[in-house]
Amino acid sequence: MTVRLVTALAVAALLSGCAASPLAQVALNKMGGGASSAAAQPAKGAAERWVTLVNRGVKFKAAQLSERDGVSIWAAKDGSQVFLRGPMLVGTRGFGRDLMSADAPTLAVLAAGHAHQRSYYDMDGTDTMIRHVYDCTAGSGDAKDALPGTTLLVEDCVSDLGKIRNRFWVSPAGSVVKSKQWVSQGVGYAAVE
Amino acid sequence: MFERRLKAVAALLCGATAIGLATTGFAEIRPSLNFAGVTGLIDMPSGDVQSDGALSISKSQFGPVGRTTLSFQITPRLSGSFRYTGVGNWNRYTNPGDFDTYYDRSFDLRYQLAQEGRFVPAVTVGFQDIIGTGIFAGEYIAATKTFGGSVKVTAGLGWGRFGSYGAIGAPFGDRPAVDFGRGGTLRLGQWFRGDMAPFAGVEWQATPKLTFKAEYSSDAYEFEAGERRTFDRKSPVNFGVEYAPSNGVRFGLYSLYGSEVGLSAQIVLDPKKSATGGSLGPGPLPVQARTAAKTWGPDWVTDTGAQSTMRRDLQKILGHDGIVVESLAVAPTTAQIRIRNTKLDNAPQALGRTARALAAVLPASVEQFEIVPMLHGVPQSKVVLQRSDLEQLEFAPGGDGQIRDRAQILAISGPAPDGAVYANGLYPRFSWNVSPFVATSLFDPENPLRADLRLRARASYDIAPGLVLSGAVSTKLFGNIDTSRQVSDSVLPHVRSDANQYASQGDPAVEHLTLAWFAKPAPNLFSRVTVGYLETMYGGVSTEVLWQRPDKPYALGVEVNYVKQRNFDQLFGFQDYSVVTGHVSGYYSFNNGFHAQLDVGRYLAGDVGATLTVEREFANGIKVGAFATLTDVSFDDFGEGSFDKGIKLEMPLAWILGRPTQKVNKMTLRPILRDGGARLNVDGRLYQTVREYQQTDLDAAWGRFWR
Repeated sequence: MTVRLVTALAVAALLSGCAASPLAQVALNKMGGGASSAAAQPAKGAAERWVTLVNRGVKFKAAQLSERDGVSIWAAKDGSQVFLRGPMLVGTRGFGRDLMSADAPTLAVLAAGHAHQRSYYDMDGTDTMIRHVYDCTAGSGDAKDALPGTTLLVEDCVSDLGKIRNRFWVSPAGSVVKSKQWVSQGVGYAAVE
Repeated sequence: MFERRLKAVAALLCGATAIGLATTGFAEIRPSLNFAGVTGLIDMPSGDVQSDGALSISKSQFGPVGRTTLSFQITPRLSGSFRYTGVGNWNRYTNPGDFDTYYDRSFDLRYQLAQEGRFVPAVTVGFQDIIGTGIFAGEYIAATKTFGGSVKVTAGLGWGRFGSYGAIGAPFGDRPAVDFGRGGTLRLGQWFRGDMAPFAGVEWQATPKLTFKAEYSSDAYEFEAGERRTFDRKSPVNFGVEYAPSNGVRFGLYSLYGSEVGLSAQIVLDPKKSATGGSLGPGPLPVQARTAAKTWGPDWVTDTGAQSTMRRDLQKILGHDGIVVESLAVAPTTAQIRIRNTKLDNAPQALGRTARALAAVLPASVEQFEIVPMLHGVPQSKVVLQRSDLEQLEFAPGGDGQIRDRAQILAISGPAPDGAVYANGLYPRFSWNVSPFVATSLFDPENPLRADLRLRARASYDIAPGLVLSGAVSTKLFGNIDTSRQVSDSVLPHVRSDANQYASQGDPAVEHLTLAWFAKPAPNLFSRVTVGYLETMYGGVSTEVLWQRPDKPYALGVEVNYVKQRNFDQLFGFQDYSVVTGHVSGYYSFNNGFHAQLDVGRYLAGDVGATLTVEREFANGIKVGAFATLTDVSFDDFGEGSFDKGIKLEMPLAWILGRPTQKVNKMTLRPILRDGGARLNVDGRLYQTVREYQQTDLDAAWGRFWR
């Protein structure tokens, strides 16, 4: 029994470097691919988007699973999910330290350049929910960073955890073509396009 | 001009803020462990502490001195360590031919008196080897201050071992000699007495992965280097380098005492940080809008066919998460579902997934969902949720807390409501598995770690709800436990001290073969009767009742057993010894994650007394605790160690892998296993399984309801 526990401790310690540890990286890289044991499966022919976990260098397709109350849920092949309220990322499932819920501004608030607050809720390793409140400002991003035919909208936020920057590439029609948004300390940024 | 200056100052300030934020986390020097496995330098302790809840294992060796230490940061300031020390060459000069390595166990406590401030160092007082033989006993006060983000300086004063070299006086008088007797008791009279000596050291974290250390040691190694001449202590100065490939892992190479090369390996785990960052399994089924609810025709209320189809549809969804739908009862506005969670490690997550499945399948008029988790055919509690709350709160910021506020957790007993549709094939049902495991025999002075690799076959037959026939047989593949020649010298009935006889003769061994009956005679009363070969050493009858209200953080249990000692071969025969043993047990969950259990009663050797167990529990299932038992057996009659005590550890595999599984690694570590204060080991004790679905435990893990 002791041997088992020591092995368990050793494995956990190796993994505890999280994204920095090669073992954890292998485990995490599997995300987005592989067979799904999920109860929730998108319908055939459902709309698809690309999701990139920027800090992990993982890119995968996610198909629309549902839409209710203005929130659409997009599921990868392995069953992990991304929640979008309009273009705003308000949840993830299956990425490790998931964004469990969020109080996010609308695109109109960002476009108007108002100062605002947003809250991210994630869980620590003991499954205790933690709320992170950020003070944010919004404005136009550098034109040279904009994708062709888009304008870049930038949301800069700061909390006791540090600074984050969400980016939204907006088409002339006002729809978000691509975004790069903060998920959590454990996951980093996710790009949706 | 002024405006330009102001802008420059503002820019500087902004830059400084940005750098400050960017460098947060780099400025910190992670506290490392010393050769004794406590927070410190090389062989000396420091004033630092590990992060709250940190659990560490370290192994160190220099010359003939080897130590393995398990430490736990019990609270932000208090830590405890259990250590196993081996000193080689012990009798090379004094009693040649006698045993070569001296082994001993020791236990330490440390308390941080002051946390590091801008001008104030971190100050810790420590007590080493407080209840063992006292050979390694010593006390110290150590102060540590960080300079410039990469250098830490420690200075301290020590007594006992830590005052044995370079003493500057004995301010609190002579250190009295203490007859440690059988060991295991506190030697308060010695604390801070005798010679006092200073020690000091410095750590320099050159890069986040590389640390250099140097220290001046005040430990003369009077026994090891002096009396026993196991190594040559030429100098008080030690130095070394440590490499930390990842946050929790560290290796070190050192020069110690001017004559020896030292090596160390440290693993530090933070139970508050998941090894994989969190749970990695697939996401849940979205809550379905009521307007899109499946239609079941006008007669579904009376149509059992439609209700059977609903149950099947629910099972199809929940089967993905290992949830078995035992029964479903649907009325026009209320539904009760009884589930068995066989896979998810988190109970609220199982409830959340069940609730969403109900929203996807049941007719739109059903507003109230009653989810009843079942174990061994017994309803554990009833969790009542409103469908409209699910619809409203699925995407709400902080929606977990809001749905918890609106959920009710109630007591329940009895069968499913009239008209319920049941799953087919749940009873009778046979299941089995075969898996290898490692059995260990620890702390024998001849060989402190013996192990056998064994193969175990388990089988279980669910005869009817609550009635389970189960057994396990194991056989040895290879190992060395049977080389133990220890013979019990216990003056008590040998209720546990013949453990090595059982370990070496049981091949194959019937580990247990029992018929168990679980029931719930009243909404707050759980019961168990187990008959048969209860554990490797005892067979008989075990009965238990537990009173637990779902809304209370405490519970009360009574257990009475009549058992007879089994033969060493662990087949079907019995020895002559039999006893009536049992306890009254009180359980209490403090709201800060600590949990206490007090058992009062009669133990296997017929001795009467009490066991106190205190555990720190994390909502992810990690538990670290300690227990001690005092009975009317005298310390002399008990023998080595004076009384029964030990450490308990539980680590769920799901926390390590990030994948849902209910497997838990459990370990109970006793310095020595003897006959006083020994309890029966019977499977299926009620409290640990029942508590999972009561309010206190559900609240602690509720964050994963929406996972």
